[in-house]
Amino acid sequence: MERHAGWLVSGGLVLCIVVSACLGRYAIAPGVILRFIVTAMGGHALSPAQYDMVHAVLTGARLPRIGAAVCVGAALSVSGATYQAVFRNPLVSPGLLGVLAGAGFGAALGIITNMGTLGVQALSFTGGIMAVLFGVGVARMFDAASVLMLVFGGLISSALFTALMSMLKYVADPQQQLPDIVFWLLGSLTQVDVLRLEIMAGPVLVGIVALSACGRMLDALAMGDDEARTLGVPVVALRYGTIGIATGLSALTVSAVGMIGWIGLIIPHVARLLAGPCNARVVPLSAGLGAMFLLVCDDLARCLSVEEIPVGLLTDLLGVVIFISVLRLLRRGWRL
Amino acid sequence: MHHVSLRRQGRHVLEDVSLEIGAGRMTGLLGPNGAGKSTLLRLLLGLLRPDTGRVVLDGRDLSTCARREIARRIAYVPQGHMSLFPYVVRDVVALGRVSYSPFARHVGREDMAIVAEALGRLSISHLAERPYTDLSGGERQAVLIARALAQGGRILVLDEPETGLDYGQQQRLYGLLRELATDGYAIMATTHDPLRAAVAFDHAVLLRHGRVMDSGPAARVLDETGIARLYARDTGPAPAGTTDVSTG
Amino acid sequence: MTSGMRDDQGMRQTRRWGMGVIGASLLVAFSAHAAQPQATRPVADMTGQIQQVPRQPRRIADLWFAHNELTIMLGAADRIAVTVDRPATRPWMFRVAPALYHAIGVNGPAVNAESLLQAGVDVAFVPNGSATAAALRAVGIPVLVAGFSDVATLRRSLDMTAQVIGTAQARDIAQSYEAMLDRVVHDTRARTDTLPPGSRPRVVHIQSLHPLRVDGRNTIIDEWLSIAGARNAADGVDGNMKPVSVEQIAAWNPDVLILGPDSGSFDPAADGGVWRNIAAVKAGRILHNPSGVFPWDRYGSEFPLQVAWAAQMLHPDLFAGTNMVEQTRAFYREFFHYDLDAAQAGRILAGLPPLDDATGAGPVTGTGAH
Repeated sequence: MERHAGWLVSGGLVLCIVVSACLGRYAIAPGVILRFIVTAMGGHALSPAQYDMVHAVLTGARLPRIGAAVCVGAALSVSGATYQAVFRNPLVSPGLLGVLAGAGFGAALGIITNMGTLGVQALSFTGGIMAVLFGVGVARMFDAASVLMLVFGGLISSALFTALMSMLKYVADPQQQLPDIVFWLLGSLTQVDVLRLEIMAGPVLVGIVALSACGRMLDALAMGDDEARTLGVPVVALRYGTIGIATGLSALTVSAVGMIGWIGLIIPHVARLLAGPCNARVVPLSAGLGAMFLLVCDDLARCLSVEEIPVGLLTDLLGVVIFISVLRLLRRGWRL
Repeated sequence: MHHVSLRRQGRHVLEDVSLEIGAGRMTGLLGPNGAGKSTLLRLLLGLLRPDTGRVVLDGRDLSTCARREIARRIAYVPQGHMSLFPYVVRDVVALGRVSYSPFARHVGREDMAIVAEALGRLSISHLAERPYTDLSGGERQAVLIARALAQGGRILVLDEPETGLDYGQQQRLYGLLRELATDGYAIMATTHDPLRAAVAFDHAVLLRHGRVMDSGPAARVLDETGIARLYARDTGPAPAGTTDVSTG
Repeated sequence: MTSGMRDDQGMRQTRRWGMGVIGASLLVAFSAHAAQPQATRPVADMTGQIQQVPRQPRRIADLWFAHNELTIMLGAADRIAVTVDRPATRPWMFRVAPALYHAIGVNGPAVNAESLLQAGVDVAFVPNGSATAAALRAVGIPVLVAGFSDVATLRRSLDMTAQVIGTAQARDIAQSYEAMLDRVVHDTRARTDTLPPGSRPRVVHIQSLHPLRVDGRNTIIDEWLSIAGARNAADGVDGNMKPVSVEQIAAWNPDVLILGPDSGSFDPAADGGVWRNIAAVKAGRILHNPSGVFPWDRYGSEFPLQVAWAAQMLHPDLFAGTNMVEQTRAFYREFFHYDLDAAQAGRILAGLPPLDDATGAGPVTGTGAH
């Protein structure tokens, strides 16, 4: 099982991507897709108008969203797995240090000041990073090396930025801006286009590779700070380095698609069930599983009804169902 | 370790401590709670830096060595602990090799051989695929010692290794440590059991109020008066007043 | 020490008693005040609840964005003491009714009851399902739910508002407005009813582009689309401002796109060219909705203008005789007592804010992307 988990998840992900490409509100029969491929290779199976439309729907609407779901799902899961390893706590998620609260505040600020969608994204990313820096700053005022102080700093930072965001919601124009802020907070992949995907894909890939590479050192960190040091792991550098990468990943994705919860918390657990606790396996496996999970959720979000369902809502609901169903299995693994 | 002192909050935790651990020798570190034993271990492992004095490893100041270098020379066996994540024994022991290839996704073939050898040496090869979290205290300690051996260094530092072991397990533990010493390992362990230490160790260092009270051949320094003086009810300035003598 | 404490306790006891007495007498005074059959009359609000309102309300809190326009139209702009509308977002409203600059601007329909008391408010209009209504009634302010969701309820809301304002002028305006509304709807229907289904263009009305939101069935948008001889192409969408995917728009493949006044900037090349492949974009039939005192496409009294505009835009041959500039000027003259020149009417038809010439108040353009 553990040996084959990687292949299983990779295969599942590829299957999910192919199926997702065939699903959508604009009905394209599988036969049309085949004829589309024939036409794309130089044949004449589709009329030019039909070809243009299928091409536009696939490359303009469907594939960017599939790409975004894969990127965001992978990034959030990997980020969660990293946080859980660094904080030696299976119940933490990437929001622990305030990145979500900060990103939400940044996005609200962007919406209120009419920054345009890219501006909102930039401000949201900055907000997420700022919030974590603030939290870490608070931790450093007391004791930089302590995990507890980091959690404490994150708590303060989250509270502060949540309050600031509530303030912005309060002053926002309730007709135009407030619904936009609420929509953003619910999380949705509707706004992702090729440009955003390009911005996101590179850093996400690099981040996942880097965090996978740190997997064994993260295992050592799980044994405790002093032990990790005596095993030759630069604890403080590793902790801040991996938290930095994980935070960057979540800020980048959250700023593009809004708040999407649960993935960062549950997916690493499922990965551990499949492959055991070694982070060198858990991190890449989380990436694949997270990508698959968000892809399925987003397929539901865009296909289930004529209206778009906020995907954050679906990840929350499905996440709870999955969490309850695997909890019994998980309890074997934890010693709480 | 030469004339090492360390202060914390204006108070001397260790003052002018000198000691040496040598290959093939088992050194015991004894003293009442609060005497500075753990601090001394942390200095030896390079986890703390002395305020004055030097910790020297084969002629090099420990504070100039990189973490990875120290890890390949000095291995630490902590008191049994719990990990929240159920790593299997083989993975825990393989962590001993992390300083050799920190960014590798998989443990290499050579490293795997070393891990298997360490497991064999501790006679726990049959536990290799068991979750570490399912093991008994004695088994867990064997795993941690195997991990220390896998690190490849010749210096082992153990923190109260007999804690939680029954008499037979303690016997086997000290037998194993003696074997390792005979193979040329330098072994340093803290212990709360002066009677056993007098027999099991070659050398003993008695620590009280952050100073070396006495050191020398274990059988000599751990005689009746030595033990009595070491664990005497405290009247001195340090708050380390509890005389918690455990005579297992 | 002990005696001090006892004294303190005693004091507290007395104070509590005192407070109780004062509170009780205040309550008695207030209820006596409220019970007086002084100059009030009953008005049924949109939920059918009877409210006692002053014979001549002087200070109105208008807490629904769309309702302020009705109050203004009925000649009571100078009685609006508290409003949720703001000059930045509704520049034409403040241009037409500068009296609103004297009103206290509040952000959103959730307001503090005491601040309304402080402002001397004697009647309040709120939207459907307002959470503040109970709090306002608790401090003795008569609250009328004024929400409307289609033409029929728009008329009822207007009648109710005229009743509350209580002047003959208000009642006259309401009557002549409704007569005009009926005429426009009737005249437009008379022509569009003859259209076979195939000649009715399929329209998607986009309220916002980023994120993408459209208006579906059971909305006032659906209503004017149908009167103007079109079909709402947003099949399966029920209600206002519903998020959909661009792929869904492609699936609907509408003949016409109408972009709401605050929908943001439209880029046909966005989303990998999906838009360019939609019939409406191919045919160049993308319409920008006018916006005046209130956005014409949404819930407001400029509904007849919207019907006329949409009918002409969707069926230019059928409505060749319509002159939207003149019709707009006439409407503003009669119902807002404001003389628009042709250029101003043109700006309203183009969904643009007034040119910053007269007041220098610097209206902010509300057309930025969201």
